[in-house]
Amino acid sequence: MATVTLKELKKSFGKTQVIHGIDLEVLDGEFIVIVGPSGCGKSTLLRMVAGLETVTDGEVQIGGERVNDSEPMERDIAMVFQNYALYPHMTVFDNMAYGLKIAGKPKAEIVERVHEAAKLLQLESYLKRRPRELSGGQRQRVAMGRAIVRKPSVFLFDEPLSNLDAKLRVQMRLEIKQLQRRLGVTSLYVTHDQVEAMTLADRMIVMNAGKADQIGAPLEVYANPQTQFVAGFIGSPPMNFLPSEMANDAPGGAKTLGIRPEHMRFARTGKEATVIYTEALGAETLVHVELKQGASATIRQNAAGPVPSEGAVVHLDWDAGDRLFFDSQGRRC
Amino acid sequence: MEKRVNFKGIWLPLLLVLPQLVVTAVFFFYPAGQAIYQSLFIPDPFGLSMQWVGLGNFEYLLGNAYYRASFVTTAIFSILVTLVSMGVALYLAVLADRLIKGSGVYRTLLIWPYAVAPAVAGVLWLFMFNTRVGVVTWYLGQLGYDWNHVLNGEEAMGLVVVASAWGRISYNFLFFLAGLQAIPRSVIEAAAIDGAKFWTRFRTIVWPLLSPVTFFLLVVNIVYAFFETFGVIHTITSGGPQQTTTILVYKVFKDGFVGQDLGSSAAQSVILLVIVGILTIVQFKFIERRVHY
Amino acid sequence: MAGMVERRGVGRWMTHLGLIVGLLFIFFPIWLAFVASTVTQPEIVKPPMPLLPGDQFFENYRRALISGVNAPVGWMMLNSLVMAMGIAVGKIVISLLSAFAIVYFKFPGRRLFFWLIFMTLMLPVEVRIVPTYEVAANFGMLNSYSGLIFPLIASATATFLFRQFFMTVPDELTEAARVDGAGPMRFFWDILLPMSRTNVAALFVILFIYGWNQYLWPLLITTDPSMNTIVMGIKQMFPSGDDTADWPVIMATSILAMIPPVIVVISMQKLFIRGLVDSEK
Repeated sequence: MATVTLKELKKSFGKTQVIHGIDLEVLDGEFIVIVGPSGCGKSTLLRMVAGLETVTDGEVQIGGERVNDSEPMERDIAMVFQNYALYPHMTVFDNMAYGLKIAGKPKAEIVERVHEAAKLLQLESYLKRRPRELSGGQRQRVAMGRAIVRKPSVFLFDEPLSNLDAKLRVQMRLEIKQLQRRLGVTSLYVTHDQVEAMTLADRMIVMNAGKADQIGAPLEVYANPQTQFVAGFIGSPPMNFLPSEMANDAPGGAKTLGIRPEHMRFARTGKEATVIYTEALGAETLVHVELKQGASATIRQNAAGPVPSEGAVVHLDWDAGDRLFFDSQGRRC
Repeated sequence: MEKRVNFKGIWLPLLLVLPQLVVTAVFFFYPAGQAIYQSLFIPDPFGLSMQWVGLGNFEYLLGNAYYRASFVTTAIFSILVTLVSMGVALYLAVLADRLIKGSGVYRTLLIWPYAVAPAVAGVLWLFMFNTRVGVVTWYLGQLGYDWNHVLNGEEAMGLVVVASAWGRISYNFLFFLAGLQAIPRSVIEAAAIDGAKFWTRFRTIVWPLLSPVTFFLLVVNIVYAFFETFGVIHTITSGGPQQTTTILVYKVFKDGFVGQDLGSSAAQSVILLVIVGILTIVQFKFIERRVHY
Repeated sequence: MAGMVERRGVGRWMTHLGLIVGLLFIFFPIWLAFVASTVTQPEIVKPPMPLLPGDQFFENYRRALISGVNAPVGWMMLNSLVMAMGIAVGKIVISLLSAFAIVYFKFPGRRLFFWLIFMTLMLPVEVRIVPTYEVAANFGMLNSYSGLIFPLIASATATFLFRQFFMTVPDELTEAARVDGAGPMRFFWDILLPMSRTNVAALFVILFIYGWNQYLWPLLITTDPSMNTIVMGIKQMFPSGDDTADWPVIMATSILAMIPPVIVVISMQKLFIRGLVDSEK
């Protein structure tokens, strides 16, 4: 178990800077999710912690020690890769045991630790198989097992669920969370899926173009986004952005008004809008409307409530307390 | 194309490439350099000193009727070997491709000659056409044809061509068959629905789609005929009669080892070197283009 | 061209007939050689020789293997085996190592090295025989296995093949190995090499045949009959002048010379075809 500290961490490939100074303190046993769109630098950040990318500037500390120049193995970390990176010619057992063998652990201990991990992941009956004889979910478990047997002080996950189908992804997400709780190992988890981020994270880092826009607990980030990018990225369907003139009492400098779909409601009076189309999802219905000023919005409507037909003219209303204002730089104001 | 990950270290990779570097330097670059160097000299009759002649060896060669004749011989030989072996191979590949079952058996049998060394192929054909004991010679004699490749230059050429082409059929067959099997069946069936008969289908669909393979084989077979048929020539005709089957590679050997004319042999090596260089560039240009197919 | 375009009835038999004619053309020379290796010398020198095997099989092959003409063919086969194995194994080993270095390291001179290797693709040994012979002679390699082997392993095809394959190995595997604590050589030995097994085997088939079938180089470098390889040794069995050749032994030797490569090609057919196609890419 260990803490992870990033200080002013920067990374450049040639002349292009891709990480612009990130500061982070990860507590012992904490589950941190790094989330952002593709190309935002989240994987690069993780790989710098792993020691697979060199650090251009700044510092990575694991357990309070500077590890910038250490080999991945010396950092006491384990990593789960997006495509699992299982050794195709080795059995499940050998895949999990490989790191321990290199570390020169006695044979009895290796067997014991691999079996322990296999039991935890329900892989015991597959130990003699090769990766190609396993299903996607099983391969994912083997990749997890390979990380667990090392008993590292930090787990690093690089989009580990993105190769699975939707149903399996939900199931594995749950398993990962339970496993991390049980083992209590500090974890950094990279994903582009904000639902994964919301459900897994103790705290999340929302990254945008090489910068950390916001670091905080998922619900805190959701309720109180610091930038327009975070507000738009976290939450599905995304927050509605309207011109700030739609509010009479917008603060000075405000350019955009943001309201979440679930905070908009139909009313007798209010902003007039035309229903473009509706999506019935079962428990709820999404109503897409176009406002007079040319802006569009989505309203999340409980399925029990009345749903307007397409083409109907409706009136929209919301509470003043649910509004968020952003300036021309996309910052909260 | 580059790997994202690289291992650190300078001495280890240098150590890893060292064996290949040494072997290549000693047995490739040094001899090639020597060939170029020697081509600019003539050794004195006692082999004690070398006399600088500049491009004299090349001038002599290009002015030499025997050498020019060897060029023509090589060209005729290469073209004939290429056409015969590719023609037979294509014929067999088209037939084998028409079978649903059994093409594997034919393939297994047809790849035999690939395993037979050119020199051994030469001995086999020499035996059949031997002027004294050859079976084919004897039957030709019964038919009233007096076969004698030891005296008749055209017959000698015919024999080395057939023996060389024979050994190459497997190779061409495998590539043609693979090329044919790579043509989507739906394309052929569409043509059949359009009413195209076999020959029309072959001419208008199969042959054009096969052209990348054909062109590739053309280059590869010419290179084969240029260099790898030495064994056939040496066993069957030794370049005779009257040099009618002396191809360029054979002449390098003969002038260099039998005639001990090192300057001339080296100059010939250099000329061959240029020819291979050109053929290789053609081949690579072509492979680059083939990517687009 | 199967399915609805498949020939039926007469057409199918014509297809088989066409292929069988082709097979006859391919196999007649080999058959004749086999027949000649099972009959007596007088049966051959009085044409026409028989077209069906005789009863001298064991006698002729025994004579060839044990005494031969200049040297026992058994010896020559052993020489061929050493040469073919040496070339195949040597080429594969040095190519694996250098391809690994080129792909997985960034070291000074990498590009230069790459192009130096690339150039060797162009020149078959036939083109530079005289100076290469001199080098081998200076090293005292005449009539030695190292002389038969080393000059022929200086070629780049295998290096390129392995480079191509290594490029397709996912980067994540290398990273996973690094996280597992494997250094470069450990990764090479534990991960890369086992993953290259089929490529190595396919290349082995091609190189073994290449080595076994060499003719010109052994002809130059071995003057001592006991160092002759079988493929070049056959020609040495023909008498100079007007003497009659010992055809049964010569033909038995020809058959013996093609048996090992034929076995390799037929038994490893799939790998052979794969190797052939790969190495020409």
